[in-house]
Amino acid sequence: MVQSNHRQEIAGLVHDKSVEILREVGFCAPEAGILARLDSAGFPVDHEAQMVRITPDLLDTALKTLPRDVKLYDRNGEIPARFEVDACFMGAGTPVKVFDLHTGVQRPATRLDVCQLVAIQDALTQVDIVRPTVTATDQGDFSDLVEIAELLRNTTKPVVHRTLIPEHVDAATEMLFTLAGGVAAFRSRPFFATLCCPISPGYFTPENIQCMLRWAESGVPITLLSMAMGGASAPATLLGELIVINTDILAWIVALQILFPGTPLLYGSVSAVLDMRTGLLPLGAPERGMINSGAAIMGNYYGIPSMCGGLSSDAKQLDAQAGFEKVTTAIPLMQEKATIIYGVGATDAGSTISYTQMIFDDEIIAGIRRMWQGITLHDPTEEVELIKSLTPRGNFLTARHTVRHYRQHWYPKIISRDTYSTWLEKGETIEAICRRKAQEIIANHQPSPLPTAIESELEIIMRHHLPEFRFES
Amino acid sequence: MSEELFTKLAQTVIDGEPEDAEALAKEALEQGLDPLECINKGLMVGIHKVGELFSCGDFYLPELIIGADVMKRALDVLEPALLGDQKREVVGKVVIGTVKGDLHEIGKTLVATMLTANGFQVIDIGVDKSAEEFIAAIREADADIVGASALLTTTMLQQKILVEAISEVGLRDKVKIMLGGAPVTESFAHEAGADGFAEDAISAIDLAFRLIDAPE
Repeated sequence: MVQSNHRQEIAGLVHDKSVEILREVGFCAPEAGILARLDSAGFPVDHEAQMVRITPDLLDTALKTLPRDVKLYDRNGEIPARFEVDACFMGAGTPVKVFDLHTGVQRPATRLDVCQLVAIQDALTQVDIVRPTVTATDQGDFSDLVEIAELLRNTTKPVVHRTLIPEHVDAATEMLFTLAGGVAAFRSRPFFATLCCPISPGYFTPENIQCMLRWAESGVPITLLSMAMGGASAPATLLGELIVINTDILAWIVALQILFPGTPLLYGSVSAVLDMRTGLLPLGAPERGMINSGAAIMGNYYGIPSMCGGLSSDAKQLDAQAGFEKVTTAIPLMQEKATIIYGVGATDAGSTISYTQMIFDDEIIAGIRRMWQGITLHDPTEEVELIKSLTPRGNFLTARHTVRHYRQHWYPKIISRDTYSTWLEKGETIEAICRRKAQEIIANHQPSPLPTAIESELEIIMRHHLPEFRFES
Repeated sequence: MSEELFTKLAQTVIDGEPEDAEALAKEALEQGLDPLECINKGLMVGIHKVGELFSCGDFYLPELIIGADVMKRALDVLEPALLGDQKREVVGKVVIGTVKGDLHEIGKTLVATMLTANGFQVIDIGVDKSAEEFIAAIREADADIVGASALLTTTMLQQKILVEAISEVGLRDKVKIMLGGAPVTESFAHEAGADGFAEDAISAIDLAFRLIDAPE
């Protein structure tokens, strides 16, 4: 693993090279209005090439106004216990497919899946931040707004989502402010963050830029989320890929801070490397965790929270591959102190969400979190006295010390530690246990309801776009 | 002498040397060699070898793509020099691009290159192309297949619009339509009225062969 001096060296080098690229080549802002805005804000702009460069002065100003105390809150205005203490785990998202809970067959995801997957994340103790995780393909052009409405309704945990349609940002912020009780209340304790993705290297679509500007204007925390593909949209070396990731993100850290000083930003990466045998993007590869640990390094370097893709898998079922990949892609992110690890429920290279994987991910996270505590250093006087008194051949099982401390050890909820014959007798596979647990949560878990008046107001906002919209009771 | 040059030409494709390929193609024409023979006995032999090496796992995508690019560089020299009724034999003609509003190029280009390497003539119209632009290219090339890619849930709806537009102008019976891109599914492609869907570049090639009923 990376040594701390090595980590600092990587961060400094990557930053310097990004600054060089942004000074000499810049980034593309493919729309006249945006170019004019950046031009009048002092950026050197080549209108014909639609390229914007960043001067050292602009960089300095931006890094001064960049807020270093960005936090996410739950619906009750509390900071989740693990935020900035431990890595927070977050739902994955948002593909169009789901493995059906009952049949296991891959099918298009619907609004009902969004509601159920959000409620499950609300119930799972190891999930800190919630995403819709799937696209509600039965909601047409308004799926993003329906997903946001259902997120707000079905969990009290902090939520993250996006839209690709600029006009939808206004409807989304209207819902957020309604729920918060005003703009100022939302800004002081944001329970929602969004994300915007560049096309690497150096490009955001005009729609994406419009979305970012609208979110920024409303003070909604924005995750600049790179989706670089090593060997395709970025160099094949991890260091080279990280320079692309950082350049794309730094460009818009500066642009947004200059246009809207103080906009809360998160540093995100769900990057990977291309599989050169197939042209597919494997997300269970060790390189997935390795490259996105770079985002954690850079987020920490700039002093802003990081959101890093990991806990990923290419498996199509809950199997050995899924277990191996989920863990190996999460460990480097823990190692580099990522703020948010993005991947709960994802499988099939992120293109399908699995209910059973989501349940098992909760188990994996709990195990990893325990492992991460390591051997803690404390005054061992009591242990030493106990050892002396029980040497030789004593039994620690009944010591008061044991009773006080054994519960620190991890006890799984799903994994079998049974003997072979007991396991045989129970006869339930991990997949079956996870399916049963998901069904139990859906049947029994009631997320804390929204106040009725707020719920009605959200419905009214939604009906401006979808006249038939209503929440299912 | 000519055999030696054909072998060298084939080797440039295998080694991925575009400048050498272009120079050799020019040299061949200066020597008065038949351009069609240069293509069939030189370039095609090279690209088939690249394909074989890819199939057995010695080559990965970069070598395959570079090989196809090298072939294209030499073809740009040789094709204009084809004599009278000479015509390069192609498996089929494919117009390919990403739909309106979608700028995600890499997957589409990968499919285009793989098709080229497999003997198709590919007209890559680029990204963010309207149905009208697709239709104009289909007409101009007299294409057998059109491939349309979309990476976003918002832009995939344009694929449907494209299929409708192709039907409206009366080209639906003349051209096979294949769709691709991360959010696209078999059922979406079917619903959109396309002839097929491919999840990755390799299955896109199989699909293209199937759609025009050509032996692989």
